This record gives sequence, C-alpha cells and structure tokens, in this order.
Amino acid sequence: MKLDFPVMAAALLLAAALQSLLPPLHGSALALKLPILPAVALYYVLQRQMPLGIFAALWAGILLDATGAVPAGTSSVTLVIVAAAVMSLKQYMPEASVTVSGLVGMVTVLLLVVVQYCALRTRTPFRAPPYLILRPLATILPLSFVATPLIAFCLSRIDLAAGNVKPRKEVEGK
Amino acid sequence: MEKVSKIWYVGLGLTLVMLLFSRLWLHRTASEGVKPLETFVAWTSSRIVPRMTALFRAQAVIDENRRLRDEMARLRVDASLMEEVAVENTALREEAAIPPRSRLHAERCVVISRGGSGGWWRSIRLGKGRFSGIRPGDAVVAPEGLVGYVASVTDTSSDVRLLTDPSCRISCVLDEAGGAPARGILQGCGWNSRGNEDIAEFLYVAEPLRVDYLPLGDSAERKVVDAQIIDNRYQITDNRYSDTNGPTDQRTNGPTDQRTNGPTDQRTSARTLVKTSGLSETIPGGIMVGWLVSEGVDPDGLYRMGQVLPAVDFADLSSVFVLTSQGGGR
Repeated sequence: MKLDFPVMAAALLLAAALQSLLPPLHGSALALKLPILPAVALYYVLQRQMPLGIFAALWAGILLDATGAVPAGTSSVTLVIVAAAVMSLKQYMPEASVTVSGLVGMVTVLLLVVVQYCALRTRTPFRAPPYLILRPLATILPLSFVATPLIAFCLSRIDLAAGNVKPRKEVEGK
Repeated sequence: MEKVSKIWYVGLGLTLVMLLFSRLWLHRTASEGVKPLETFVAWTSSRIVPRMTALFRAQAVIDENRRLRDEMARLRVDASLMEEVAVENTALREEAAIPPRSRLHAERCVVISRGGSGGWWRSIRLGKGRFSGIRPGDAVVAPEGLVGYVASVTDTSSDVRLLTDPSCRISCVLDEAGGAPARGILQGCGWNSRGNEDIAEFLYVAEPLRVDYLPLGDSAERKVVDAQIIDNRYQITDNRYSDTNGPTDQRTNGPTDQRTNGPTDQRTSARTLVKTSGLSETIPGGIMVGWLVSEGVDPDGLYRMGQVLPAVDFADLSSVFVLTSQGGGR
C-alpha cells in the first residue's frame, strides 16, 4: 500500500507549523518567513504525478492563507496556477535539476508574495507601501532558491523510504 | 510514470468544491489543523526546555524562585488592600449613581506563534479561543501593559493584532499629571518609512493646550505662559513656537521654548504616560500603553501627533492575558 497521502499530509502540516514558528527573516515589520510550504508543494509538482502536484499546491495554498491571515483563496489559486503552468512545461525541463528546482522556487515565491500583497492591499486594512516589500523579498528569494531543492531532496528520500517512489536505477532498468 | 489512484482526483475535486462553497470553513479547519503542532512546540519550549536548562543553573533558579515568592507575597498584600478600595469604590459609585464597572476575567494564554506563516501582519497566535470565552475585540495585556486586541478567533486559538500593527487603532489618553488628559487615537507604525518598527503614533486634538516654559538664563524667575490655543495657526520649528498667520505674540517674542527641555512641562516631558481611554467597549480604561517620546503638529495643523514607545516588549512575549467578559468560558 502506498503512503502518498500520509507523507504529503504530514509534510504539509509540518511545513505550515515550521513556517509559522520560525522567526522572521528580516526585522520584525513585513518580516516574510522562509517559504517552506511552497517548496513542499513544488516538490510534488516537479517530481510527482499531476493530481498529486495540484493537490499539494492547493493544500499548501490553503494552509498558507489560513496561517498567514491572507484572504482565503489567494495563495491556493496562485499555487494551483503555478503548478499547472510548471507541469505543462515539465517536459522541457531537465529532470531532477537542482538549478531548475531553485529557479522555479524563486519565481513561485516572487509571484506568491506579489499576489498576496495585492490581495492584502485590496481586501484588508493592510496598507504597507509597495517599496517596503523589496527588502524582505531580496532576503527570501535567494533562500527559496536554496530551500526548494533542499526540501525536495528530503521529501524524495522520505518517499523512497516509504515506498511511494521507486529508486531511479530500478525505473531505468525496466 | 506510475499510475495514479482515482482517489487523488476525487480528493482534488472535493477540495476545489469546498474552496468554492465553504472557503472560510476550510480556512478555519486548516488553521486548526496546524495548531496542535504549534501548541506542541510552544509546550516543549515552555515546559521541557526550562527544565533541561534548570539542571545546569540550579542556583539561579533557586534565587529566581525566592524573588518570585517575595513578589507574590507583596502582590497578595496589594490585592488585600485593593479589596477594601474596591468596596469603597462600589459604595461611592452607588451613591453617585454611576453604573458599576464591568467585571473582566483575565484568561492566561500561551503564545504559540508569531506573525503567522506569511509574516505580513504584526500579530501573535494564542493557544486559547472561543471555548475559553475569548471574543474578537477583547483586549490582550501583559503585566507591562496593553499588547493589542483579538482580531479573529477559532474554537481553540485566537489571532491577536499587536499595537504596532498599522491597522490597529485604539483610543488612548495622555496621562498628564495635574493637567486635563488629552484624548487621541493610537496607531501602530509597523512599517513606517522611518524604520521605527516598534514605535506607535498618537494623534490627539490640539486644544486645550497649555505651554509652560522657563526663560533661558534665569531659572529662578520661572515664567509661565498659559496659552489656550483657539486656532491652529502655529507651527513648530527648531523647538520654537511661531505663529504663522497671526500677529507676533508672546510665544514668538519670548525666549526659546523649552518644551523639550523644561522639567516642569508635562506635555512634552519625555515619558508622558499613554493609557487606554476606556471609550472602547472591550478595552477597559487605564491600561498602560507606553510613553510619549516625541511630539509635533501635523502638516495641516489640525491635530498634534506624537510617537509612543510601547511599554511591552513584543519580541519577548511567551504568555499574555486576554480580558474577557465571558468569565473563562468552558
């Protein structure tokens, strides 16, 4: 029996808790956190099948909105769109490339921050001027470049240990 | 590519349907789902970590224990004295036909996370919610003073908007000794352009304004000018008052205004207390907010504004009290 769902659920919940509990990366105002949840979603998007990727992206977005006090639906819709776009382009990307994974992570986080900012500005009393997100962005973008492949590596090991995926050599041998 | 179970498609469809039709419920459920993990970490850091560290600093713990016992004894004495004052206060209120103060219950809550996963808001998350009688708008305090108010609440957790969040606006008074208190609105400056992240801004009306000042050079001959400002035709430049439209008056003729230096000037003395006004239904009056550290007049001359240093250290909150009117709930 495959353990895809328990592994995904545990990964998403742990990532959400960790992202909430980790101290802010940059000062204390507009202190964006290390993007762990998007990285978990991107692992499923880049390395697993389509429904798993979309499902993970959807739930990562729901958790991001719920724990970050962002209007409901903002991150989930954004991440699902990103997931669909990445999956449609996946055939042109080198498989298991750390650089590609990092770059996709950076672009996703950039998009996510911009969409969240716009949603907060239009639908909540949040009124931070746009230029103030530049500094925190400069901190989290390089970090997401590192975090996305790192988290993908950890999750692929867990999936391998749980028997959710087969070792690469075994797949190639067939 | 391996074959994917149809259950994933069903799950995906169900989630999308829920997202479309009961988004808020899904939001709450997701938030509640993360809470046990956050609570576990908060519990570990508040219970296990101190015990582990206590093993290595036993003497310090004994000293701290002794100090806390002394403080508790002192607080007990204070409380017993306050009981008599409370009885007296109730009797006087009855005589003066003033309605009794609403009784608030202080619910102790552990801070389980800060800023959420996004870090957009200046907020903290508490480990208690509706089941403990907490409602949106309830005041959140620490022993040092006001922390903020409950912005949203679930059954077992609540999100608190901190005072320093720009969306937080609270009615306050400047607690001036011997003067009529100035009422105003306190607003957080969490992301102001000046970079003063922990300074809140205080807006208050210009009148009545009392200006006391000492002439330069002769402190023995204290000159006091009571200036009742009836219009807003003034501005502050280099710590001097000058009338911008009207004829020159004492304020411009007199020696340099020592509002920032004069020891007797209550309004501008550093550390003028700022407290809650009690105008809000859920935030009682008299709770310490902070100290006025600077003041000025807004560019339009309509109101005065100052910067307030919060009494609470927001980076060092491990537990707080929520003032509920529900009395502890379930």
